[in-house]
Amino acid sequence: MSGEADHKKLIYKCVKGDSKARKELYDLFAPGFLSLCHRYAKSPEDARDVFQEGFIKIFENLHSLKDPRALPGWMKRIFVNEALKMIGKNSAHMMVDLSGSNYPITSQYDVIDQLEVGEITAIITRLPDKMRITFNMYAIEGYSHAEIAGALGISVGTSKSNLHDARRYIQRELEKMRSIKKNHCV
Amino acid sequence: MNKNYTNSEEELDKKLKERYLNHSMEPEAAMWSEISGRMAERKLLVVQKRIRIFKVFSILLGIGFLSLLVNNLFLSKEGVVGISKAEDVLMTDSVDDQEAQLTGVIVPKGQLKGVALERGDEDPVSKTNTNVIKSSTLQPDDKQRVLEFVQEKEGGLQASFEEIPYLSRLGNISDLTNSVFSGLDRLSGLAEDMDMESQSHVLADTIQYDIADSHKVRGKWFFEGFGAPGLSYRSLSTNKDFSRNSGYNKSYFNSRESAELAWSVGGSIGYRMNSTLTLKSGIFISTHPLSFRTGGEFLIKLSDSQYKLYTSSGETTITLAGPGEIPEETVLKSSIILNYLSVPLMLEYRLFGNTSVSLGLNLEHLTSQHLNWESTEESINGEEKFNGISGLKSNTIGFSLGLLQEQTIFEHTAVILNPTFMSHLRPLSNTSPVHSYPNSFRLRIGVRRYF
Repeated sequence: MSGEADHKKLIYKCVKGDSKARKELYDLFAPGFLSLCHRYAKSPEDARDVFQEGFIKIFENLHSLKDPRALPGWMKRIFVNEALKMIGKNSAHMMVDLSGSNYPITSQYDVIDQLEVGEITAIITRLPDKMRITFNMYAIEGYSHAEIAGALGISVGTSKSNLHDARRYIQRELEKMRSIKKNHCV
Repeated sequence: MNKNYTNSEEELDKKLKERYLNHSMEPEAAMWSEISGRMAERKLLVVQKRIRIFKVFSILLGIGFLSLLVNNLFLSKEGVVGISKAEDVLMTDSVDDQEAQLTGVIVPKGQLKGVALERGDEDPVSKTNTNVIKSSTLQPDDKQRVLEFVQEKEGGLQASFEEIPYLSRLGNISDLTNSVFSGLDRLSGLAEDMDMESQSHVLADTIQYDIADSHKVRGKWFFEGFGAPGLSYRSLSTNKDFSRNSGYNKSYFNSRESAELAWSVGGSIGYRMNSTLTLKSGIFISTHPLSFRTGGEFLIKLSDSQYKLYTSSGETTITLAGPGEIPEETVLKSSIILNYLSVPLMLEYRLFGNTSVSLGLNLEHLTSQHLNWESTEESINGEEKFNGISGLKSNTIGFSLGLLQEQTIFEHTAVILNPTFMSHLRPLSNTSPVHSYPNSFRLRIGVRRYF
C-alpha cells in the first residue's frame, strides 16, 4: 500500500517535470527493463536504443497513466512496443539455421539453472526477429497468441508456428550447452 | 506422448521465466545523462514546433480577418440602398400611398438587395391586430438595417427594424431579388385585406432607428470576457548606466533569448459613448515568458552551489544541486516567466461596419516570476532554487494597439476578435545590463454581452 502511494507521488512529481523524481523512477525500474530490452533486441546497441527510447516515451506519456498500480505493466508494454518498432526499422533479417543442429531436442532443463542469464539471452537473441519477439511475449511475458498476432501483424497460426520453432531451436541449443558443460566437467 | 511434449514446452517456458523474473542489469551511468539530454532536446523541438504552428495559425487567422474586412467593405459599397426612401414609405399615413411607395422602393432594381417576407401567426387574443408580416428584409447598406416586421396597429401600421447580423450580409443577397418582388406583392395584398383606411399611419417612433443610435438596440453598456493566446518577446536598448565592457550587450541577449508562447485572460466593462467611440476598462492577468539558452561558461560562480546569471530582464542567482564545477560545454535552457495583473483603459473607435481600432494604456503589476530551467549536465538538474530576478519594477505601464472585429451571434451578444500588439513603455529594470521592454502579439478572442 505504501509502495503504491509512493509510486503515485513519484508519478505525480515526474509528470510535473521534477528531474530528481524522474531519476528516482529510472533507478527503480531501469535494471529490470534493461534486461527485457536485451532479450528483445537483436544486439546490445539495439537494446540500448530501445531502452533509451522507452524511457523517453514513458516520461513523455506518464500523464496519461490513470492507475499508478498499472505502472510496471504499462512500462513493459512501452518497451515491448519500442522493441517492435526497432524490428520494423531493421527489417533485414539475419538468417539463422534452425534445423541444422545435430543436437536432439531436449526435455531436460536442468542446464537452465547452470547457465548465466546472459548465456540464455544470447541463445534467445540469435532467433530471427519475429520468432524472438513471439517467444519473449508468449513464454516470458505471458501475452496471448491473439495479442502477439496483433502486435506483429501476423496470423495466430503463424504466431503459434513461430513459438514452436523458437522452442525447438532453444531446446536444441540448451542440449548443446548441456553437452558442452558435461564435457567440460569430464 | 503428446501430453508429455506439451508439458515439456510448458516446463521450458516456466524455467526461463523464473530465470528472468528477478533478473536485472545495471545500466551504465552515462545512460541516464543520454536519456535526459535527449528529452531536453525533444522538449525544445516541441516548443519550436508549437511556435511554428502558432505562427501558421496566426497567419491564417490574419488572412481570415482581412478577408472579412474586405468582404465587409465590398458589401457595404455594393449594397447602398435609399434607406431614407424606405423610411418615407413606411412613414406615410395612407395605406394606398404605402402600397404605391412600397412598390416604388424596389423599382431601382439592384439597390434594394433582398426581402423575404412571410405571413406571421395570428394573435389569438386580439384578432384585429393580428396581421403581422414577419420579414427579414435586407438593407445591406452602411446603416445595416432589417425590417423586422410590419404590423397592423389601431389606426395604422407599425414597422420595426433590427440590425442585420453581419453574417447574413455575407450571403448571396442578390439571389433574393425575386423574393423582394413577390414578398412586396404579398405585403400590398395584405394591406388591402386589412381594410385600412386613409387614417392609417405608421408609428414614427419605432422606425426612427438608425445604426448611429444602435446602442438603443444593443444597449450602451457591455461586459466582455476574453482569452488571448500570444507570442511574447521583448525589445532591448542599451543601458548606459551599466558597464560597457561587460559583454552583456544586446547582441549577447538576442542570440540567446527567443520568443515564447504567452497567454492572458480577463474581462472588461465598456460604455458606448456614441456610435463610434467606446470606452472600456477591466482587469486581466497575463504571462510574459521568454526562453533563454546559455552556456556553462556564462554562469558566474558565487559560492559552492550558487551562480549568478544575467538575463536581459536582470540578474539572478540560482542555487544548483551539489557543489562542484560546471563544465563550460554545459547548456542551460530556461524559461523566465513574468506574471502581471493589468488594468487597462481602452478606447475603441469604430472605423466602419463592425470593425474598430482599439488603443489603450495598461497599468501593470508584477505578481510573480518563475524560472524553469534544465541543463545538459545531469548532476546539476536536481535541487534548485531560483532567487528571483533582482531589480524588477513591481508596477509599470504599457500600451496596446489592435483591430477589433465584432460579430453578432445572438441578440445583445457578439463575438470579438481582437489581434493586439502590447508593449511596456518602461523597461523592466534599471539595473540590468540592457533595458528590456516586454512586448507581445496576442489574439484576443472573447464574447461581448450588451445590457
